[in-house]
Amino acid sequence: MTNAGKALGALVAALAVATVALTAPSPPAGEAAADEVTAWDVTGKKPVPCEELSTEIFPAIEGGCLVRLPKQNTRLAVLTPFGTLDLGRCGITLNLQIGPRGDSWLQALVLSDYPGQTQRVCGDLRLCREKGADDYLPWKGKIVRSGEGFRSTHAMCLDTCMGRFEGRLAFDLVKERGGDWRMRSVNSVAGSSGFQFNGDWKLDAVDAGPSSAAYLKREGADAPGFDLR
Amino acid sequence: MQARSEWRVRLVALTLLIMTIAAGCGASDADEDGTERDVRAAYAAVGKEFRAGDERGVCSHMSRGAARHVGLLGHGTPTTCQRDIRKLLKWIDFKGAEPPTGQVTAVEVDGDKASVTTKVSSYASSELPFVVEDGRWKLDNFFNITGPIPADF
Repeated sequence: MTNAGKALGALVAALAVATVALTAPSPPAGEAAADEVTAWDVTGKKPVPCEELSTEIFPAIEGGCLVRLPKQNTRLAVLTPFGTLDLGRCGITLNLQIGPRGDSWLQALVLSDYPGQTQRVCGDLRLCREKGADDYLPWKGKIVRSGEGFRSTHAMCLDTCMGRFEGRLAFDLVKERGGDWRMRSVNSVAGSSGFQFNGDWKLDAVDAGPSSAAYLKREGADAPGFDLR
Repeated sequence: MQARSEWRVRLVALTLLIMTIAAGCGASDADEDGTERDVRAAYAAVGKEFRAGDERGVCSHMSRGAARHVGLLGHGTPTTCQRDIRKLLKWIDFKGAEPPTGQVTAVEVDGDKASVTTKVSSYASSELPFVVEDGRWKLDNFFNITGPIPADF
């Protein structure tokens, strides 16, 4: 086989795992927690288990299924009993790492100002860091079943030019009619901090870990890449 | 007969226990000495002045720490409380905000510090800190922050 043929074969193999599902076994009646989460190669109809998450080199999180959520403009505000302080819109990129028992981490936020926005607030928002450390801290969370989809709730921590805001913040994973999955925070407020997120991210790819060698990406508008069951 | 007598003793003991618990709860209630009422009044007062746009009135209900924090907002340097509050009044949008009075869902008092939890929308609550300063309860921050503004901001 020529090199070109080998490359084509590799490409076809990669495309064969182009669709994926993250599934969680149905919990017992009345219990909402997703105890196990598994990525599925939908094309091959075989499960690709998410690996155990490791915090050995924290704040880096290793393992799990890495769900990529490309940058979306997110409206940020702080609700107070005296009124709302609108912080404007910021481009936020999220990476959601899901472990085999529904444990999850949200990390790698990249904040940028919305084009044309007169306010310059996004540079004044960043993930928290431990005192004296350079690394940003990811948000620990738990993913559970919610309706037809999932809800991932995280211990949010943001350092801002107003001080530090902390609280539990919920993101909903919902499936659209076309089969695409989105992660949304609609008027989601972090605990009693008043810090509000309004964002809507499209799930772009799932990396199920090196042992499965499955990097699963959405391919084209007619081929939804993800299904979360 | 003896069983009935024992049952009566137990009933009396239970009644006494309930009365003791009820009395104990009453004693630990912050409202017993008017403290909770004072915190609620301080919250209502600052809210009223804020909504009226009265900078001087707002400042009279704020701690020195709160005034300094307002001055630092937006990469600012604290000037006078009234001038800094004027800046904050321009930033905060009243539209859609719940009236500050009558929306308190909880008050917690711990010595000379307190927190007031309020309903800020139909789906969210916010907690505000209060502190005793110059013998009065005063608002200690307009925001529920858990850490200072980073030095490099």
